[in-house]
Amino acid sequence: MSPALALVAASVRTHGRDRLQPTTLEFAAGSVTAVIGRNGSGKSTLLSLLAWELHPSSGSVHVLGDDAASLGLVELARRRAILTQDSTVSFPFTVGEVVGWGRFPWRSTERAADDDAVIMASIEAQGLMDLVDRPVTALSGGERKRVHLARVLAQQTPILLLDEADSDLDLVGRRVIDDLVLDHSRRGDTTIVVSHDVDRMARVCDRFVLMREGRVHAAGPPDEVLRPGLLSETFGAQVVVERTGGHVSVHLPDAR
Amino acid sequence: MTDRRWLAVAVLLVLALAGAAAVALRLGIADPTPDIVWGIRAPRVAMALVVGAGLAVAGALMQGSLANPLADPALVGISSGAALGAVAAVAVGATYNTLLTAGAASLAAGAATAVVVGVSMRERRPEVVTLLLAGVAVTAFTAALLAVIASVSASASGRTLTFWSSGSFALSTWPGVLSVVPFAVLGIALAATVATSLDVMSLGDRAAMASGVNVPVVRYRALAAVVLLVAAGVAAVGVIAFVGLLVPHAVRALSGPRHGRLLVLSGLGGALLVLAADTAARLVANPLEIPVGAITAIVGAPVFFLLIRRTRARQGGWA
Repeated sequence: MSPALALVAASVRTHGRDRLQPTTLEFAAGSVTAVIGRNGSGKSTLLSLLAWELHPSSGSVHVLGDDAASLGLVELARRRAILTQDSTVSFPFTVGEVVGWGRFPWRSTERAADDDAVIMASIEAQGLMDLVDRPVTALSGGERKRVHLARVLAQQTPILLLDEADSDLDLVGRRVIDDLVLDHSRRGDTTIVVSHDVDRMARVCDRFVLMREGRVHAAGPPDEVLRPGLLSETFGAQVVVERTGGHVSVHLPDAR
Repeated sequence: MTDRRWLAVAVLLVLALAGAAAVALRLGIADPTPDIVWGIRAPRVAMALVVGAGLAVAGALMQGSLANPLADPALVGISSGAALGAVAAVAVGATYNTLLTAGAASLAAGAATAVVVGVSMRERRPEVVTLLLAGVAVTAFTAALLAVIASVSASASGRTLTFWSSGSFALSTWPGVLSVVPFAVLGIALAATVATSLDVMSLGDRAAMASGVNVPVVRYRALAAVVLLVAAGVAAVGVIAFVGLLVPHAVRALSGPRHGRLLVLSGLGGALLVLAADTAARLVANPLEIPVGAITAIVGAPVFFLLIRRTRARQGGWA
């Protein structure tokens, strides 16, 4: 079976600077991968490349077996959804309308017949039934994030990419994201998460990719990758890894 | 907001328009002969309807395509660019109220649009405040050139600087109306093709692209429609500010932000507002006329002020 996503010797160079060294990396269907590393290490570049928001300076990107360069925007939007930290909406559209935009790539296809059912199911799954006619501009940050979660759910893509989507969320909001990721992978869908929250990622992800200075420093299952030596190299600082029960805690030594 | 309610708003606007047009055709004429009504007053009313609809639809398109609630064709220099194009064309031999002059206005307005939008883009995304600042610069520059040409060109001096800066329907003729209508029709047709995509673009460029919207294509198509809807009208009646700001915001408050209905209702509302403003411009100091743009500005500027505060609050402040 071909991987859901693959980079083949793909590099990114902008403004005379290498943002990503030539990288070959595969993401199996149904896998949940966390991409971690310091700020500026190339995490978001990697994700944008996989999302085909950035185009490689060399090499290629493959989405569900096809070269992304051969896929139009709409076809890409049928294959992968992206959730980011930004959840602003410029005008006071209702929750129902915003979630409905997830169906945009399915316009004038047979699947458009399911639009209403899919939108309603996504709204219900995020517990937004009471807010469906409310303008999103009147919601709290956490509620708005749920609206966008429902929107990318309604997009019904086999691939989900999260770009620091959890960074402005409280404990409960982060749990909502984790649940979404787990649901997604149980359905056999592929998820890639860029996050700074290594401990949480260790619970939901089956694989880690460590980024350092624009290249993949290490990649593998949590047990192999979440080791003090590797992490200390990745972050350029001494990192402590503690395992208690099923949980992993990754942190710097106690402050002086 | 049910579909029936926005249709009801549309019907009410059409009725109000019909009433306002009937009043405007008759009011303020001592001796309403058919010659005066159909030869002088009717083209004036028709021009107000076409120009008003174009300005309001253009405002809605700009706000949607640039994710900028503060955008208005006159505030960002597009109208001023169109006026310069018209005056320059007349200075080199064209005639007012013709397709040629309207076309020249469209070219200049297109150039002004390219400059302000180009300057306001950062990492291929539009910035709210930069667009308005670029508009200040473009307006100052084009207005200065217009003043120079209008001062030295005998052929262009038929219209005063006040006409260009504040607008007037007093010089409207049937040929003038016919020089604007083709541009307006093209602009509306182009606008209709982007309505649904503009809804999704409220998410911002990145999320809209990820949802399958070809953001650059939709944006430039919407801005091309703006130029078509604004420039020919400016060539005929001068710059009328704030219509593109007032009407779409009023419509959103009434029937929600969806662009399909927003564009339709803004067209009707813009026609109504400008016709009412022109009627007021004729009547409040009768027999003297005040510039129609002064009336829209007196209403529009305070609303603009409120919108600045609200937009800044929503965006979390500007540096």
